[in-house]
Amino acid sequence: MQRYLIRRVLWLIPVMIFISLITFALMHSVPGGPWDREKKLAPSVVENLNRRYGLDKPYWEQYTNFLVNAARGDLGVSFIYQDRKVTDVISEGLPVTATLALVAVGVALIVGVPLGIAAALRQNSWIDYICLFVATIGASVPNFVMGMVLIIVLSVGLHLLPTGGWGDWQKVVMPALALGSYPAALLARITRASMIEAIRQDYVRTARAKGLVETVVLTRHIVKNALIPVVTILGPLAATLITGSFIIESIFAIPGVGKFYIQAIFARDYGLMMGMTLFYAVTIAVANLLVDIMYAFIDPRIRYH
Amino acid sequence: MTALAQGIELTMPPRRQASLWGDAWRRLIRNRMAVLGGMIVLLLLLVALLADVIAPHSPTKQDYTNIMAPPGGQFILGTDALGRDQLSRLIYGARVAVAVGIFTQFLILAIGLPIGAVAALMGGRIDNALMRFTDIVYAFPDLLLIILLSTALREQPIKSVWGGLLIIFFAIGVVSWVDIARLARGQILSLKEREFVEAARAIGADTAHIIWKHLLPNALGPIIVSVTFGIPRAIFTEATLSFLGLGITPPNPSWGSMIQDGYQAIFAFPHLVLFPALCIAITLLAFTFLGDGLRDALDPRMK
Repeated sequence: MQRYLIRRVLWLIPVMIFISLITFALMHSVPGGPWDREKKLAPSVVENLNRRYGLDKPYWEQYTNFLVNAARGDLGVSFIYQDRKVTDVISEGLPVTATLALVAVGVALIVGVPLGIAAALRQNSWIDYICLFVATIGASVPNFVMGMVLIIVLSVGLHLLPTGGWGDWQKVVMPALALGSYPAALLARITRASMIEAIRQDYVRTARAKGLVETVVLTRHIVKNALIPVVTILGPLAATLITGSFIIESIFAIPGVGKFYIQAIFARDYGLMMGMTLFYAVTIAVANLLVDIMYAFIDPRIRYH
Repeated sequence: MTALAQGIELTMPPRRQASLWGDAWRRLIRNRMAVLGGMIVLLLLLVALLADVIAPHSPTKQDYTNIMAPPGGQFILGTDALGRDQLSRLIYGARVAVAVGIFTQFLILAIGLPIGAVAALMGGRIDNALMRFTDIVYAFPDLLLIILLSTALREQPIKSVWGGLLIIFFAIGVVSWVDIARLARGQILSLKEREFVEAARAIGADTAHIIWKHLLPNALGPIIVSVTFGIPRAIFTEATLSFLGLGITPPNPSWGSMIQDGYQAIFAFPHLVLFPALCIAITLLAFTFLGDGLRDALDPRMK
């Protein structure tokens, strides 16, 4: 286990180097630069700005500087919002994004898991078909389309909820539903499949044969074991929530990290983009690692080498 | 039982000639959702192919006397803020969606299959290197890399090729080959140890023959399923990119960019968002149902 852990953590290093290298190369392959304005800046100003941000140095030096700083937890500065550090932007938006993501995961768990369980218990009944249909819709309709449909129904049609902003619970409902629909669908599908698998296991027959009450068989033997594989999708879910947050936060005008990221793309704020890309990549990689470790603890049959 | 007991010879009904593909086809058409999905996909293909013929207006012509016209009359689904016919834009948008869905798959196969196949067939150090590379690309969050790539490419001269479609093909293809590479490697690794491949080798078949006649045809089922799911994923990504303004170049219509355009006036004219949103949703659902059906049909053990 320990050796596995060390190997997994060390494996993060080449992954991060590759990701930062690709990001760096792409950002610098773009002609024009962060100082392109409607009104041209004087060459001396551009020169000063370049010197200030280290853009006058050769590429390899800029890149190694970035890497060394990133390893120290400094992700560089934004080029557009003068003097704002990438870490400041992230720590400003993170509580908002994290709240949104947590509510979305909550929605997904509350909707997806019971739906999957109910479908598996009544396989091939109408509830099963409804579950599969809802899950297919949730898994195949993009979150921004979901968001738009929610706005049209709940805001434009019924005047129930505000279309955007942040601060009170009404403003969280639609973005959380839009962001949570895909995870909910995924959870429902996985829970259903893994429940169907668990129901057929020998230990369930043994539990019934020894005369256990059905509710105990269901909760202790079937559901508890069926939920183990569900943990595996929590890793990919982190990636879904993060990339989903770009779009959802932009639609619903939510001041989270994702909105800053999209703004950085349009402003060609390379400093902010690079720093945030690395931050996202680390978050997703760590989430995957945590899920794998958690999985080994929950399911004693799994041994890592 | 009685027949056996009496020692009477059993007459077997003549065995139906059943090929793998024939069986799969029969299983597929028994799946109602898959058939429905398949029919919608066919309809979408027709609309995309015949866009020039069936579109009542030009998708890009601006009619300033008919701005934000309501549905009905001369413009069946109304016009947008620039007086462009929404139905025609949806029809041409189908062409974009189909083009993205299909051409990205060719690119994905062209990159992914050779990498997976070479890794599986060569083994050893080459396999190791290729798979580590695949793992690293896999670790890069898809949409993040696609957004970065299309941001960078939009500043290059290729941005105007095919109204920005080339960038989208490229960005999606270069990122999404990983699944196919892993799938192809896994399939070939397990197939090449099987008896029929051993037998072919024993009677002296050369490697090329084994790859083309034995390995690839047998790996085809899962690859077809993966491609069927890859098409909606690519359409999904294109819609998202265009929604973010990173996709197709205006004024060319894409469902994603139509939603973005319509979103500005969603309270007054919700239908400008609703129709493209429905097009995306129905298209993606149709491909998913077809994909689910194909998966169950081609590999009944997988569910």
